[in-house]
Amino acid sequence: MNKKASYLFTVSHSRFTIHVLRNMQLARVIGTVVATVKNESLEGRKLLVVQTLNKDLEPSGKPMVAVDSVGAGVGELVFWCRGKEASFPFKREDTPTDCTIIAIVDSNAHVTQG
Amino acid sequence: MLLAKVLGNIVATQKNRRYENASVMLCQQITPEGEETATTVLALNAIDAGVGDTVLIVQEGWSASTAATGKSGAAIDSAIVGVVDRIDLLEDE
Repeated sequence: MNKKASYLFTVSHSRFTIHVLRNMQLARVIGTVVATVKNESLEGRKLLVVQTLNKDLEPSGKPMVAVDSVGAGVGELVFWCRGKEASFPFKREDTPTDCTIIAIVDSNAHVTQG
Repeated sequence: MLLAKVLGNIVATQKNRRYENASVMLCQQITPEGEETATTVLALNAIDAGVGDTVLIVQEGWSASTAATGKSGAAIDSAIVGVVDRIDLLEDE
């Protein structure tokens, strides 16, 4: 499976790499992030580590961090919203995020094909 | 806009309020020649696209929100906005 499949494109430089995310994809929550010092509008928000999945629900690409808006927990199947719209579930100008979890998929069996 | 093939749909009960009554489709991006790529994406169904259809997906927030829910300002970043009937390409010489 193409490792870069979960990114729209990647910009590489000798000192850093920027991955530009794809819109709405399936992902599994695999962990949580604790950040004590952060933008004050992120206070009380849950930060989760998510692993993007392909259509067969197998991991594809690298894990990343998303802000939660629906009460997702570790192990759950979710999908997110990217870009400016990611801050819309919160008070508009309030939360600096470009990737927000906006729904929890009921179960693996609720991803149907064909 | 992306060219994609609809693979199936996704059921989520716990979701953002603006997603109510919307159907979320699992799609696989394809090339103009019709070959599947490794990328799968989700999109809201703004038209009545069904499984197996070749579709156009818009990946921009304002357009996707407006197409899928009739109003802008929702946390929606991709929507299916058309079903492709055919694609004509220049033949390789």
